[in-house]
Amino acid sequence: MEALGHFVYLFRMQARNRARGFLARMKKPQYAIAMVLGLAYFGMILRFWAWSGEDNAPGTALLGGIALTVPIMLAIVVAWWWLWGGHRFALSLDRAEVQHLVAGPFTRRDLINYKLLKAQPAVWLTALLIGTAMGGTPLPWALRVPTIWLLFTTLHLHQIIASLTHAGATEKGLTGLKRMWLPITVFSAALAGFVWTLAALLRQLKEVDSAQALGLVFAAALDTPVANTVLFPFDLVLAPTFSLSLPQWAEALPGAVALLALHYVWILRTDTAFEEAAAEAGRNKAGLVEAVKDGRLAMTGNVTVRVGATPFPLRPVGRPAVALLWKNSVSFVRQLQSGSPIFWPVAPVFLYVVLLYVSGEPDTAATAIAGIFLVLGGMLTVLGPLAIRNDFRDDLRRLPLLRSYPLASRDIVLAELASSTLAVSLAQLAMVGVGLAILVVSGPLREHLALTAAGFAGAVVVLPPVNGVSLSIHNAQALLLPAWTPLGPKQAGGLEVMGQQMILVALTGSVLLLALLAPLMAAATVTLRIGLSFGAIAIAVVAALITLWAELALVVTWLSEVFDATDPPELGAVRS
Amino acid sequence: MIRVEDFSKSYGDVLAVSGLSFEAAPGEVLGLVGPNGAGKTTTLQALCGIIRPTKGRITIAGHDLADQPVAAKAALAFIPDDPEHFDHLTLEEHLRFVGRIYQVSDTQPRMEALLDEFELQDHRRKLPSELSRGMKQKLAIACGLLHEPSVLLLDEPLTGLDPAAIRRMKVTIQDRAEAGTTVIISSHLLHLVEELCTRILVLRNGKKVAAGSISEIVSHRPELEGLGLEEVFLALTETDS
Repeated sequence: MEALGHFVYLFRMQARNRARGFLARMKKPQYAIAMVLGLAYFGMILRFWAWSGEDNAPGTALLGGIALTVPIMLAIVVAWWWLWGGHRFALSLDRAEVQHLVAGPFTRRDLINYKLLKAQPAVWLTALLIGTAMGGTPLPWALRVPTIWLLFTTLHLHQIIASLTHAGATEKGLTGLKRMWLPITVFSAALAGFVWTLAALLRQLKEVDSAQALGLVFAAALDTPVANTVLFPFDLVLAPTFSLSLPQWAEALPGAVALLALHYVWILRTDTAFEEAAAEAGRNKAGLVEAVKDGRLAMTGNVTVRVGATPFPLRPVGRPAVALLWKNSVSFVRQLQSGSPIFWPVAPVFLYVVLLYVSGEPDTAATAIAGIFLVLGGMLTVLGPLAIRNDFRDDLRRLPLLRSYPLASRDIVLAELASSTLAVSLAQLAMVGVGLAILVVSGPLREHLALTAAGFAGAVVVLPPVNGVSLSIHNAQALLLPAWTPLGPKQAGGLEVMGQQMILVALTGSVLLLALLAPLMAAATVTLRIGLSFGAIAIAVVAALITLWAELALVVTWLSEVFDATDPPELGAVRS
Repeated sequence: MIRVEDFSKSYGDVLAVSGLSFEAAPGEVLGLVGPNGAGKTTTLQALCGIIRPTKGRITIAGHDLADQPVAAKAALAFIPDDPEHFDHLTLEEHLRFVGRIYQVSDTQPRMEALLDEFELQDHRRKLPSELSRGMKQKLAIACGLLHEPSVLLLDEPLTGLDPAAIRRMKVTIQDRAEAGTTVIISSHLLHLVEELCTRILVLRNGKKVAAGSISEIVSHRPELEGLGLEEVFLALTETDS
C-alpha cells in the first residue's frame, strides 16, 4: 500500500504538471483556437457515430450484427499477439522508470501494478469515447462505459501476457518453450480450432448470394462445438458489452469479471522476466539492438530498421547538396523497408485472388485492381506529402548539424524539397504505371497503347512539379510554424494537434489551389488563343509547366531566405 | 585562423554573449572555459555558423562567416558534446555523406584510416541506434576530421570516451595542432585544458574575464600566483572582476 501511495503521488504530480503546461499553451491564441477546432471536430465525429434516438431498435439490431463478428475478429487479433508478440514492450518501463522505480525499493508486484495503473487513464478514455459513441444501445451510459472498461482492461492484460510469453519463448529458445508449455499448448490448440472454424466459414462463403445468407453462414459456422470452444473466452469477455437487455448484462457480468481477475492473477504469476523487459526498454538503443542478434537488423524505438543497399551510389565529388538528397532517399527507403515490405507485392495479389474468387472473371478482377492502383496514385497527390516526410520536416530536428555544413541555403532547400518530391512522385508514378499496365494487359486499354503511353508520359512530366509545389508549402509550414509542425517521422496526436492539422490542411490546400491557379490560367490563355487542337493542348501543357516551375523557383528562393533567417533556438533545437 | 570581433548574441531579452573579441592562430590550441551558462556553446555555435551573431564579425581561415559562409564552413569542423547523427545512415555511410558534402575526393582511404584510428572498423555497418554513447562521439570526431579542417571546434570532446579513446583523442588534437590546425576546445575538464591548450579564454555571464596562457593571466592577478588552473578558474569565475 505504501508503494501505491508513491505511485499515486507520481501520477498526481505528472498530471498536474501536464495540466499546467496545457493551460499555459491555451493562453496563446494559436493553441486555443486549434484546441477549440479539434474539440468541435471530435464532437462532430462522436455525434455522427452515436446511434441516437428514443427508439433503440436500430442500435440493438446493429449491436446484434456486430456481436456476431466481433468474437472472430478479436480471436484474429489475439492470435496475432500470441504469434508475433503484440506490443512487445507492453509491460516495459521507460528509462526514468527503470532508474527511479526498478532501482527503488519496490517489489515486482508493485512494478506490475504501477504499469497497470499507468495504463488506466488511456483505457478509461477509450471506454468513455466508445461508450458515448454507442448511444442508442440497450445499456444505459453509466453501465456501458465501465462495461467497456472491463473489456479493454481484460484485453490489455491479455496482450501483456501474450507479449511476455512470446518474448520468453522466442528469446530463451528451448528453455523458454519448456517453461511456457502450458500457455503455448493452450494457444496452439485454440489456434488449430480457430483455423478449422475459419476454413469452414470460407468454404461456405462461396454459396453466399445475399447479406442475409452471409449472416446465416456466419452464425452456422460459429455454432459448431469447435468454434464454441475456441470462442468461449471471447464470448465471455464480450457478453456484457453486447448484452441486449439489463438482465442479460447482469447474467454475463460475473463471467467477464472472473476472466479479468483470472488475467490479473495470471499476470502476477507470469515468471517471464518482467524486469528483463523493463530493463530492455530502459537500456539505450545500442543495448536494444545488441539483443537483436542479426547484425543487419536494428531497433529504432519500436521499429525494426533493415540496412539494405542505398537507392543510388554517392560519389565522393560532385554537387555537395546531392549528399542530402542521397541521405534523405536512403532514409525513405529504409523506413519503407522497416514496415512490412512483403505487404506491397502480396496485398494486390491477395486482393486479385479474392476478387477473382468473388467475380469469377479474371479481366473484371484485373480491371478492379487497376482502378485501385490509379485511385491510390491520384490520392497520393494529397496524402503523399502528408505521409512522406523525408525533407525539412525530418531534418529540422538536426538544424544545428544542417547549418554547420558548407552548403548554400538555396542548395539545402532544393535538396530537401527534391527528396520528398522524388519519393512522392516515384510512388505515384509506380501506382499509375502499374494501373495502366494492368489495363493494357487485361484488355480495356489494349487497343489504345499510344494514348496510354502519352498519358503516362504526361504524368511523368506534370506530377513532379505539382508535388514540388505542394511539398514546398508543407516545408514552408515547418519553417514558419515550427510549434505546429511535428518534426521527425512520427506525427503527434491529441485534440489540440487535430485542430492544428485541420487549420493547416485547409491552409495548405488553399495555398496549393492558388499556386495551381496560375499554371491553369496560363494553359487556358494558350488554348483560347490557339484553339482546341492536339498541338494547342501540348503548348498549353508546356505553358502550364513553365509557370509551375517558375513558381517553384520563386518559392525556393523565398524558402532559402526563411531558412537563412531561422536560428536553431527558434525551433528549440539547441541549448543556449 | 579564427578572428572574432565584438561578437554578441542575444536570445530575446537574454544576452548570452556580449562584446567578445579574440583571435586564435594556426597551430594554437585555445581553451574556452567558464561556468555553466557562461556562453561557451553559444560562442562555438556562432563560430561554425549554426547561429547568427546579433552583433560583431567572425572570420574563419580568412573568410568572413557572414559574407562567405560556405567557404568559411568548408574550412572548419565542429564536434558538439551531444552529437547528432542521421537515424538511417550506417557509420560508414555517415563518412561517405560527409565526404561528399566537403568534396573529399579520397574519401575511401581517409575513411579507412579514421575507422582504424578510432577502432570503428567492426561497427562500420551499424546504425547510430546500435552505437554506444562513446562510439557515437567517435563517429562525430571521425566525421569532423575526414576533410582535414584547418579549424577544429570541440565542445566537451571527451564526453563518453573510454580511457584509451581519451588518450588517442588527446594525441589527435596535438597532432592536428602541430600540423597547423587551429583548435578551440570548450571543456569543464580543467586538467584537459591545462594539458592541451596553449592559451585559455575565460568566460563568465557571456563576457571575457581573462585571456592568455595561465602565466599571463596570473601575471595580471598577482593574488593568483602559485595556484593551479582550478583555483585560478574558480577565482576568476566566482568573484566580481
